[in-house]
Amino acid sequence: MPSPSPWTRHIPMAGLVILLLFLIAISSLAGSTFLTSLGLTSSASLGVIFLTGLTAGGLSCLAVQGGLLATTVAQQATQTDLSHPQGSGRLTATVLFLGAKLVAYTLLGALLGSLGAVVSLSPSARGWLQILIGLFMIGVALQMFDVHPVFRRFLIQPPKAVQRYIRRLSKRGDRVTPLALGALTVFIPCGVTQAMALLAVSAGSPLQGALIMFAFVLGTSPLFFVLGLLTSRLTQAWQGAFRTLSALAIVVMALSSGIGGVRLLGYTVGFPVTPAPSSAQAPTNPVPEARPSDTRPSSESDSAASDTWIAQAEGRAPTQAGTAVMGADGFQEITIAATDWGYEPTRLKVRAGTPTRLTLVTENNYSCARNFVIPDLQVDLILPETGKEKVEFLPERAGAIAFTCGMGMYQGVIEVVE
Amino acid sequence: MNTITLLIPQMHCTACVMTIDGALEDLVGVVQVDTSFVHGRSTIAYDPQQVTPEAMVAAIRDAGYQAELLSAPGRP
Repeated sequence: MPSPSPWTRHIPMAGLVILLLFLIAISSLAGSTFLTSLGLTSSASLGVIFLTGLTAGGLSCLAVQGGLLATTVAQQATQTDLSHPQGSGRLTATVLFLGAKLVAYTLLGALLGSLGAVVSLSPSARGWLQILIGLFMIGVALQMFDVHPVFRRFLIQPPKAVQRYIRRLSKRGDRVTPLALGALTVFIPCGVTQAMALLAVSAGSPLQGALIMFAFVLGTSPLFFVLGLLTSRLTQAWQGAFRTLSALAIVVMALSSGIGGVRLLGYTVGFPVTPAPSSAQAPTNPVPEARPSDTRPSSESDSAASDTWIAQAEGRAPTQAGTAVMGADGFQEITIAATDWGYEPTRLKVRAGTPTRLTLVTENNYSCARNFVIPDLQVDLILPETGKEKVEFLPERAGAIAFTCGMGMYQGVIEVVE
Repeated sequence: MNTITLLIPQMHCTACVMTIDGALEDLVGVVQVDTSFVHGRSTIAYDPQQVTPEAMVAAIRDAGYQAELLSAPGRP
């Protein structure tokens, strides 16, 4: 085994610094969290996925696939350095390897996203799926922590024939080899890659799936690039340190997935609700009515203006945001703005026994908040990017009606009081 | 032709399997290798005239892993 060069000794420290920057970046995402951001494919969330690749993903995948890159680059360098003393063969091989890897994983993401799009699941089915995905990720993390050999079954194993083919290929020195090996890394996924693949499936769209995997693998590339140029394998000690960090990141992602799943089942998590009797509301008509003619100008659609807007429309003074306003037709009106950062307000109050009309307002929204779900009322709406939709229901008894986005990332509650 | 099973507890991913398989197959006299990540062991068919179990353990150690003989050499 080649001894690590002086540069490789600094890789773990650099990784830790990057991890720290990553955490700072996450905390600076106002109104959002790591958990919520992962559920989206807005530029902000893709940035978080990229940072995950840059840090935990890069470290995790380097421990698994780094040896393959080191071997093939060493072969290339040996073959080509005869004519290129500066080691351009090493650089070319690394670039080819990483380029092919990026393309292959992007295609895989599109495939996984398509898979998720084929099956249209109800919110509760999606909730259970996310909980199962979370449990699977915990299994992967426990394997990486080396808790017990039984958890090794959670890591996907490529067929033996593919393993042999990759092994033989890595010993060749031609130009096609790095390309082929880069693409074939889809068969030797690391733990964080598996977590991202599951995220791509749950995104339920080929484009979103492709974007998730692209952003992630792009993030892992800088560390691979450094390794490729150094042509050095990592020691067991560094691999162990990388695995621990990666496993911690997977635990966070698993909790994210599981908590989202629980929310999709109609429970609030991390959101205190005033104790009240069971919310056994029977909606008069849980099927929402879309009224395109009601769409109002986008300039009025910010969340802070929602209550004001209703009050103005009805010729009354605005009330406290989140509190229902009685309409002339006997309906109490509440409004929720779905923004890129969640719902506003997140806590609303209505009176039991009074028909309720909920207006959902969006303005240039491209986040998962557009998929508005009230599990208890079987409401599962895709809101327009800009516009509004209405839902009417009858809260019969005091209690809490939880609402969430389609990924279970954003949440809020309608408190029903006597 | 003999077979032995080596216990390799330090494997942590599929790439380890490939590395170990590669290290063993490079030895003259090793006919077939079947390394299991799940079970943490490697079953090797080899020609005792050409290679010894000690040489295989050494090859695995050179690849960065500890290995120990789980079963005595025997015929497949």
